[in-house]
Amino acid sequence: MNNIASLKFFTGEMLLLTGAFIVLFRGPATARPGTAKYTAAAFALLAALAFRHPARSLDLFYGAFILEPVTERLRRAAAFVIGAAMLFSFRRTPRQQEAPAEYWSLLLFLEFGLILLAGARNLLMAFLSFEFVCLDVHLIALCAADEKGWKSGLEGLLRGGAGSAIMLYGMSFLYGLSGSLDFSSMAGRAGTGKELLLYGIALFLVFAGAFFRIGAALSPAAFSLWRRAEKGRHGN
Amino acid sequence: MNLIPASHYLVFSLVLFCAGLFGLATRRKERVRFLLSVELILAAAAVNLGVFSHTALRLPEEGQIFAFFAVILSAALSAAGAGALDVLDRDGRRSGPESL
Repeated sequence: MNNIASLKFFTGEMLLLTGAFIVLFRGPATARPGTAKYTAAAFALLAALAFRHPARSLDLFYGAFILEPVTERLRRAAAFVIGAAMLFSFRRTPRQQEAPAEYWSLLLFLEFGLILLAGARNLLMAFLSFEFVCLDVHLIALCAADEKGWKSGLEGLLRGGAGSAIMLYGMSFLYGLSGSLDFSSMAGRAGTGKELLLYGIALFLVFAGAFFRIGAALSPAAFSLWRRAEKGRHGN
Repeated sequence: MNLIPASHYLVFSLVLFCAGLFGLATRRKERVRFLLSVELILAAAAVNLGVFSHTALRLPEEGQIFAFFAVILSAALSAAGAGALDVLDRDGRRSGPESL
């Protein structure tokens, strides 16, 4: 399906992006501090209502994105998780009070990225959406971190780059072995013997890099939580 | 015209990858070297994607587009890494070029 025809099934995602940009650019300018969060929540709700589920599987954007029952469930799950995060975030932490609009827009961007990741049909889309999600998670975790956690988060940005690079190297081998970026073509050319071993090494690199990247993205929040727990234990 | 065989490119990319991995494993404290090591691995991946685009079953441009995104990621990481180094340097820890 071409790009214009695909947009018909992408209304919810377009609403998410619109809401994220409106909150990002208009949020800090508004006088009332609660405007950004209510705008973001309204757009998240509108997007959840606008998600369309076709009767059969559809290849959108020239096959870069697939809309099928599993994608649909994952899309609903992403909407639920972000909705829950929004509800829990209505009680602000001191750090969030400094940049509330950015935090709320990042939540909307994260939902968009998760949906893209769920529906990605080739390596390029999967890589780009994974990077997008990890960057969003990293920035959201930085919003929740204290000053030292924030510095560890900057270190994590460099460490996360290493994870991305290793993952990309593994993906390049997957592409070389299968001759295509499509997941379906890769599954059809699993191979045997030496080729299977190379597939294993490539997949190992991809997953090792991905887990390293996720760990680095979550490091500022984890470091802050650990510091708070230690402070609580020692009473200062 | 004599074309360079694909295996030469693959060996070159493997050397880049190993050098980068060695840098990651041994120079974790020095942030500039760490960043350079990451760039080496990204360059290795971009070389691989470029080479494999010639052996692709269909749409050889896919690999080149992917390599293009790898270069973009590399540039973005350099910029973000330089910014992070600048902020972290204010903490008094050495990570600038003098640490090389």
